[in-house]
Amino acid sequence: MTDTLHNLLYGFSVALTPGNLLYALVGSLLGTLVGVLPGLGPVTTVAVLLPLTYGVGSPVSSIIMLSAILYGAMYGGSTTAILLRVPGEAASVITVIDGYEMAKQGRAGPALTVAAVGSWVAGTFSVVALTVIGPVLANWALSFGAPEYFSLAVVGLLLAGTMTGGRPIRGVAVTLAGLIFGLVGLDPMSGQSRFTLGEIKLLDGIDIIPVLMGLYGIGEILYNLERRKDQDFKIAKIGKLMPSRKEWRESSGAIGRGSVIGFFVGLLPGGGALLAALLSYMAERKLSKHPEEFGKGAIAGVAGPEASNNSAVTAGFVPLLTLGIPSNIVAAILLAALMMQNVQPGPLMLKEHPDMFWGVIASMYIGNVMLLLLNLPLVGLWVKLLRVPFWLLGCAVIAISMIGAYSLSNDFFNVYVLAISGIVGYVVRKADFDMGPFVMAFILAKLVDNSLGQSLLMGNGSPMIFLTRPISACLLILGAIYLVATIVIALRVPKPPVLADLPAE
Amino acid sequence: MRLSAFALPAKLTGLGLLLIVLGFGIGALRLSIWQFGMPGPGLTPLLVSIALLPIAAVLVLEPLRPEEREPLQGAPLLTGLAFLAYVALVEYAGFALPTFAFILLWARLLYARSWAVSLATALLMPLALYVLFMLGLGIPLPLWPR
Repeated sequence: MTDTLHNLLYGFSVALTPGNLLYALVGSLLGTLVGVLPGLGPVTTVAVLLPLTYGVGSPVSSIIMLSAILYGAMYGGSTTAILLRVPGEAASVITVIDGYEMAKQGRAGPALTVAAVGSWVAGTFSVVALTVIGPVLANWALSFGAPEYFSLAVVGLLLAGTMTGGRPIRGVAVTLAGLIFGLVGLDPMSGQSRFTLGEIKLLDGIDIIPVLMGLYGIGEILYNLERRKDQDFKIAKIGKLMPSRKEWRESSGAIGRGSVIGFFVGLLPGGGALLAALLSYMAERKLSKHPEEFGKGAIAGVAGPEASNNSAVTAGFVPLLTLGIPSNIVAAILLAALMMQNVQPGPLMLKEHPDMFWGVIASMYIGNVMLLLLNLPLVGLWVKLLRVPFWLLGCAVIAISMIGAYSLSNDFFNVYVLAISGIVGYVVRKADFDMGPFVMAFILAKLVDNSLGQSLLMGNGSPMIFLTRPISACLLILGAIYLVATIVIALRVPKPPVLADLPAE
Repeated sequence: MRLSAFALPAKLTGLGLLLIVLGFGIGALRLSIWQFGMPGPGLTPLLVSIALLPIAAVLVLEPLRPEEREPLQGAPLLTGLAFLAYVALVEYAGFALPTFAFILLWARLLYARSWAVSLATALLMPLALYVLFMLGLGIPLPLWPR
């Protein structure tokens, strides 16, 4: 335990330099700035701003800036959920229910405050939990060989593909598509090129970052063009920021429970922020002495889910940093950012790059604190930003994406990838396909392919090796049971009513 | 099912997935699946294509619920294509002129701003981006035609 504390302090000594604090400050501001734009959620924000973090210098600095952007954007999304009834992302849908009701009653200030404090408490809790669990899990994972990695990745992708909130068949379809696109390029085992169509730039594979920026950034802005006539939002008045003593009392328990629920949900592949927020909301409604207040401005209905979704996002970094496997889209983006810096997360990271491992953890915490110190006092400024018209910011984001994609390798190839992904992003957004699993599969494709090849070699060509190794067999059996259960449920059980009465975007 | 039903976004996505299966599946078959007693580069893509084929077929053929029948709209699609054209223009004519034109069209045509507002935005925004990214961050995006 003292060892862990020592390591975490080491992480802070790596992360806490004046320069890094400046990056955290700038990241937090930028993240909130883009995140409060109605219709642009955290994933879009982080995707669009990702290339900016590349140029800042050391890997630790850029990850600090990125996590500040992420936390800023998440808070920006909560702000629009509460003040405008526009959830920036799926997870904020839950915040809208009671947050907007509170805003209508003139209690937007307390709602924003408990959202920020709740996110901060949850962030603190989950960073501490990550610090404790991370090294244990990483040590265990050191014993993993190729068959274990293959089974882990496949079962993880199966869960991620089926649990994203949309229809499971669509999630599985985009997962498989992601696996295929992720294989474009040189095959390391045979040295042969795959699906490169003779294009030299494709030998290294398709860069995931312009794909992400296109699917989430450009695609989302194109989608917003559909509603360009009715951009006249009614912004609720904030009023006083400080919650009353009664409101604090009602939210503190919710924040505590939300932090814990979110953490465990976030550990699961696909158990992203939406599920965490939803479970916390249901728990609070169940535990409340006044369940009838939920939906009519119950502060616990804002505090719990906001804490929970923040906790889930941080928990998603546990499998990423210890196993090298991202469990949700946010972790997948962080993985892309780390790989851009030539850092490969996984069990070896703790041994080989302890500065990076602990630096990343410390920097996530710094991003979280920055959020509390910066976003809450500046909330008046963010509200003014809500009044900046979308058309102006929309074309700025498009141009910035173009420049950002170009800057990845100072070359136009990635910019074309960005533009095509943008058009695809709009179509799949309209078709209601969640592309999170696509991105995760894309990033994991090479791992799946290599570990399959190596396992088959180890097993002299027989796939039985996946069932004779105990960890791999357990994972595959659990995956198979889960798959059968999902199919049975999809065919027989109607959609749960709780999901059905969520407000539409 | 009428032919126009395939123009709906969910169907287009299904068709796209089917194309992916065919393209990559055939590509995988042309690579070696198994060589020298070990898996070849075509094995994983072939397995994935085989798994995706029935799923893509279901997505193309299944009837859609009424709320899934919302068609694609012209403005986003045209803007997406305009963005693609803009990118191609930037490659050959540099950042300044195409960005001016793109923002002018965006403000004037898409959002019906006045000529004055549109022109001012189209002049000032590329300038601000140039100062911020090319001068500030040193991104070597060419500014003028070569």
